[in-house]
Amino acid sequence: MDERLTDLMNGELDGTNSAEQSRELRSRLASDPDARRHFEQLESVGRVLAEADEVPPPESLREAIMQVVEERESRRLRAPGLLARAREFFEPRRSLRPAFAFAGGVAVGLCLFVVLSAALPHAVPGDAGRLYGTMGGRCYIDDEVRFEVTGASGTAGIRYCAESVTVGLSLESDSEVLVVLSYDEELDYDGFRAFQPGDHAMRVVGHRAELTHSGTRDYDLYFTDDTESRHPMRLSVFESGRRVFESTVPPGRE
Amino acid sequence: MVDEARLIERARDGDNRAFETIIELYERPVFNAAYRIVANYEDAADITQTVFLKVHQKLGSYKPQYKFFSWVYRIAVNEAINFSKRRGRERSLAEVEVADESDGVDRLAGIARDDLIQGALRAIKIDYRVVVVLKYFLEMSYREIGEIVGIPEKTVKSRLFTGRELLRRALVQRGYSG
Repeated sequence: MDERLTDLMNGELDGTNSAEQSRELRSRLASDPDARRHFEQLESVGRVLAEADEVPPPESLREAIMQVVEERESRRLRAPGLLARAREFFEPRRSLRPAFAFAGGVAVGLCLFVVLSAALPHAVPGDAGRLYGTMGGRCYIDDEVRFEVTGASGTAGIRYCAESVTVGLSLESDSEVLVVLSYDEELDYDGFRAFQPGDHAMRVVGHRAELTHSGTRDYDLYFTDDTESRHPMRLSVFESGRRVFESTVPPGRE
Repeated sequence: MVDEARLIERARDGDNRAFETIIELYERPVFNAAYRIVANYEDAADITQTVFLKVHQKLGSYKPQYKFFSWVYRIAVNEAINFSKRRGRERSLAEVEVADESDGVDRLAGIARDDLIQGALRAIKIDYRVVVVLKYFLEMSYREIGEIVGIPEKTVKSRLFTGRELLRRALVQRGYSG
């Protein structure tokens, strides 16, 4: 099939052909059954796509988005308030600067102590060679998400401490379940720890941590997040390949 | 008639009800575009959520001289492309099994035509798939597609030509006779 004929066909399908080009196409198709068949198939591609049903998004999607938006908003609104209160507290007390300097020195000393203590290595099973610890910063913890389905139950909660993000999972199931945590691309997966022995398997695909679990066990999953915001995660539980539970795990509050 | 400019302004000023209305307006097309590009219901839902969180985060940098829908779809298409490319690199057999089972069974059982379309779309390269999806599912012009994907109209046209041909072959291979 020559390039001219291909252009005429595609122009006709996209409605960009002039009347003269349409006539030329019709004439060429009339004398070329293979080309006519080809053109009819291309036309039907458009029809089959146009007839495809629109797929409704999950009903809870809008609510889930708004929940994250409102959490972000409330954090944003709280932050300036805290700063303002801090300024209010410190500014009138300029005469107390030596005392503040002393207190600051003590605080720096304490921080150094915490950092040096945290730097002592302790290996984490399941991800040998990586070190974990906190920098002693402010932590944010929210209510855990609980699920209970036939044959399985558990909780999931996120704890943010400075750049370290820990997801605690407590799982109990009669048979094998797949627990999937989908996380924001700004988070980096760092490893996991199972607190009791037994059958389990963890793997990460893209931004999904997939834990195959059976029995009763607690896990910690470790991530780093070097952004200023905190991110929720999506928890999904599958039994025999079928999703039986899904919820957003909030990222923790002050 | 919704005054979109006013909605955007209100959402930018922190009016969450206005932002929710924006989601209401664009949720379905964004979700459907993502669904047709990544060919998985759950992944499309995740992408849609990410898209609107990014829209909310970046509303302050949106320039009103550009069309809002182009801006939203651009974010959506980029998210879906990035997702597909990551998934293409990292997809493993086990995940395919999970995705496929959680995918169609609940919501799309029995819709053979949809399976046929999804299968054929998945068979063509992402660059062509995106253009085909924007053209046929969102009914956009060459110019609008070019704005969203960030390519010249001429390239849109050639990708659409090739994409349509590849899709025809994929459908025929799957037993579609037209």
